[in-house]
Amino acid sequence: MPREHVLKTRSLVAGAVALATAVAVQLYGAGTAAAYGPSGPGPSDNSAHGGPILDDVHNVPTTAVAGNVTFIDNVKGVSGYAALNFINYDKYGHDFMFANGTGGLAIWSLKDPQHPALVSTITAAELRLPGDTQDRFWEGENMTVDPKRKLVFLIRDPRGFGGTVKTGQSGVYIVDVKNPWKPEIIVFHPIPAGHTSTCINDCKYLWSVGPANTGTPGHDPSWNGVPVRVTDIHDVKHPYTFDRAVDLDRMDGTTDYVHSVDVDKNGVAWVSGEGGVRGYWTEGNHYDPVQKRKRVATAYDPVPYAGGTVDPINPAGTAFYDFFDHNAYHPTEKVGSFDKGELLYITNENVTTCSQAGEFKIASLKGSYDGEGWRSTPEKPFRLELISHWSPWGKEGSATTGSCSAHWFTVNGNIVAQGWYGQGTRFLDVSDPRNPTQVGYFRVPAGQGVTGGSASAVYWHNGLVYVADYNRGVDVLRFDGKLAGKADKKICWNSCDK
Amino acid sequence: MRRRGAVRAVALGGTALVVSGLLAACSASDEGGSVPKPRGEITFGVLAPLSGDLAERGQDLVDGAQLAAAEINDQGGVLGRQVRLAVEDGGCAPATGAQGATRLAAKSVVGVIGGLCEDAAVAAAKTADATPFLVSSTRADGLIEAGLPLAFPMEGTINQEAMAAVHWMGYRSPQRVAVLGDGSPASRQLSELVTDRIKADGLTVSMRSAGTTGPDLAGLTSTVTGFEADFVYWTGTAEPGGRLVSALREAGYTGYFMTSSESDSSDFLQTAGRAAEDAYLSMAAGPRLLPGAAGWAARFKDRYRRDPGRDAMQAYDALRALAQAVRQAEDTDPSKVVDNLPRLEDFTTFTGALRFAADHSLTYDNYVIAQVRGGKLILASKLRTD
Repeated sequence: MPREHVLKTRSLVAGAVALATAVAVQLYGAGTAAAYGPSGPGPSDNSAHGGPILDDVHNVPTTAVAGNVTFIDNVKGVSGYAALNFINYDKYGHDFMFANGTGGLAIWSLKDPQHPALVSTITAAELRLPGDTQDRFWEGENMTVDPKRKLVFLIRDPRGFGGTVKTGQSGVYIVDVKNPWKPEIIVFHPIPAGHTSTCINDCKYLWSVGPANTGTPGHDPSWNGVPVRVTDIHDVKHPYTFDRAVDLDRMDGTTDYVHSVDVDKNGVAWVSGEGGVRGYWTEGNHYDPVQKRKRVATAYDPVPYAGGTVDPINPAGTAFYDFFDHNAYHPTEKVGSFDKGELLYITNENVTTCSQAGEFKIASLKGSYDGEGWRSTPEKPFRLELISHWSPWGKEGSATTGSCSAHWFTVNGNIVAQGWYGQGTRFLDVSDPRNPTQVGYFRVPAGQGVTGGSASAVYWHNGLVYVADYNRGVDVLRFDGKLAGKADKKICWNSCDK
Repeated sequence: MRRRGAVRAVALGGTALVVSGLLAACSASDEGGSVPKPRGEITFGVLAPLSGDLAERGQDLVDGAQLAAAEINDQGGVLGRQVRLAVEDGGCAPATGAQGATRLAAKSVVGVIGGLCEDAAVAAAKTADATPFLVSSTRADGLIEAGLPLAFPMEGTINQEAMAAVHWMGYRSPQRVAVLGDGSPASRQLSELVTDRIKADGLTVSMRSAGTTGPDLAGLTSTVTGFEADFVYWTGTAEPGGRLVSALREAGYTGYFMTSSESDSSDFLQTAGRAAEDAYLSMAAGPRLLPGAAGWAARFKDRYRRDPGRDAMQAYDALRALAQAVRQAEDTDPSKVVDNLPRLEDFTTFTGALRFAADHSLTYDNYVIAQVRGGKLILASKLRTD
């Protein structure tokens, strides 16, 4: 029996016990607000969670292909999801999980971390703005939250709700989740950017980025994509977006599509997109290698730190996706033989045939600390050294068809947990950065009664792994392999203010 | 010396307002307390000081509302009904504001616009507490603090003016900011709001106030030069502000200089002379500054034979907003109209989309940045991206 089948059988036992059967029960019909206060009527008053819970859909992946991974539970909420985030509530003594996707926002109590309990939702219909033609939120990748003020930010892409990049409305919904049973939309704030967003400086500012150039007012016709837009959210009732973008000229001198911002443990905001990954100080007094002077860094006028892109992995590659660094993580620690903070872990997204799909990359920042990445031109391109790259193509647990590109990941110690669309969740040991090695996987092919998986983002969280899946909702997993490196007390990604 | 508070005087471009005589016509058109009929006319109230020192501004406000009503009627009215205005003198004191509101309520107006003095507007809103009231020309702080459920101020708060200044500083990337004031309560409040915020962003800031009777210009100037400031923000009144920028330039200061809306006056430009060149002002948007208001200003001038002031522009937008809310509500019921005011569809003022926060403050206020160029004020930034 192939190894993967042995693992699958073992891994699914726990899940099968936990879930007697796949259930699909919606107690309340369409049109009924699915938010209940702890003191109000609810379908299942479970005080153990701090309030009532809603019935949810659980899809048991009996077809799963897994290695070193145990499936624990699956929850659906309102739809599939692009991203998750977590907030701890002293009041309740445990975390709540937030997910956003095409169906809107769903919130679960993690009183029992293995079995999220749905407590409330804001549906896409409830997020519609005047002029919208569909109840389809799009799409909220790299969801950001303010754990102190208990706020969730739903970033709206212009392609949501029936819009297009040229006609749609982008911006952010700011949602008050002080009471997770009663999330309240404080405001929808228009921003001329809206693919992902990240809290900056303890969530006093929001950096919103992407997508491709919308051609709407505020966009320079010379831009190939939307860079970083800075929004002051000190006062969430009155957000203010600066009419000056950040991280311009990123693709060898041309302003291009920024896709993600991820803050590291030192507070450097790493901006990923077409043309590479560049880090910025957003607080404090720092030497600016571009302006050649020491100055105060702010969220609206950050100081460049380091970064750039690497030569395409595909030797013939010169197209957009060859330089599309989708998101990144900067480990501030020493890894392997590399210096402390030298490495950059990068997702290259490229949705193409599986053998050439986007990969996970590791690059060295050496040689980029003097503004080189800001002076790169087509004639004199600056490139980081590529240390290694990895793809599931041909690896254990992989299919040869379906969607195969690298996507969002988080890091615990030296284990990268990453979503790969149809190739599921992959666990990579990067203790030797020159040789990333798969140490676990979980992939869900479609089958009778089983929703096939498309893993968007994978989150280490309190000893478990939660997967935001575009099709399945959220899968709760346990990595059964050995954790390499020193386990992180705080899993740092997106805003890192957790 | 002008101060914030009860009255926020707004420059009218030096053009004397001509009382148009339409007031009598307006008053004659009121409905005398009868309940609006299902068909026929919709009556909106206009509350403004029509006597005393502020009569010219009050008339400007009324004229702006009249122009809006005329254009709405030319386009078919609201819900198929013609719009009429009932105009009342609200004075500039709480008592007169309340009396004016009482008279309008007796005329069963669908909603009220206007309000030029803060205390009078708050009293009027409290009195006419069953009528939607778009308060067009007074700072919002008192109305927001009062928490009046049917009142919607169309001006910003002092905090919003402070943030306009802070955000504009952000565009200039200063490192060391001097916040200077004249010691008055309003100046001090604005200075503190700005200073606190700049500090929070990590910039180095020095705040200093001088006496209201005669700012110590030499002292303030030495503060700026000794501190090596690269940005100066003046929160005091216009004339001393003009003298300050002159003294600073004479002392060799080459950094940015910005004033608050208190310097939205010819006094600043006249006192500063050439030293005012390139200075910035954070101020409420008016028709003189907004290129998008040019066509409207021409129509106004064609009708009234004079240039419009800010109050006319604000009243014009307020009446249009109120009419839009009625259209969306498909009803004149106050609660339905109020429900629609925070979510006006495809509705913009001369500064952009009009949106209200849950506390009824403007989500995007109407503070803009002007710059002195060639001795005149021009629009430097609307501070908006929507």
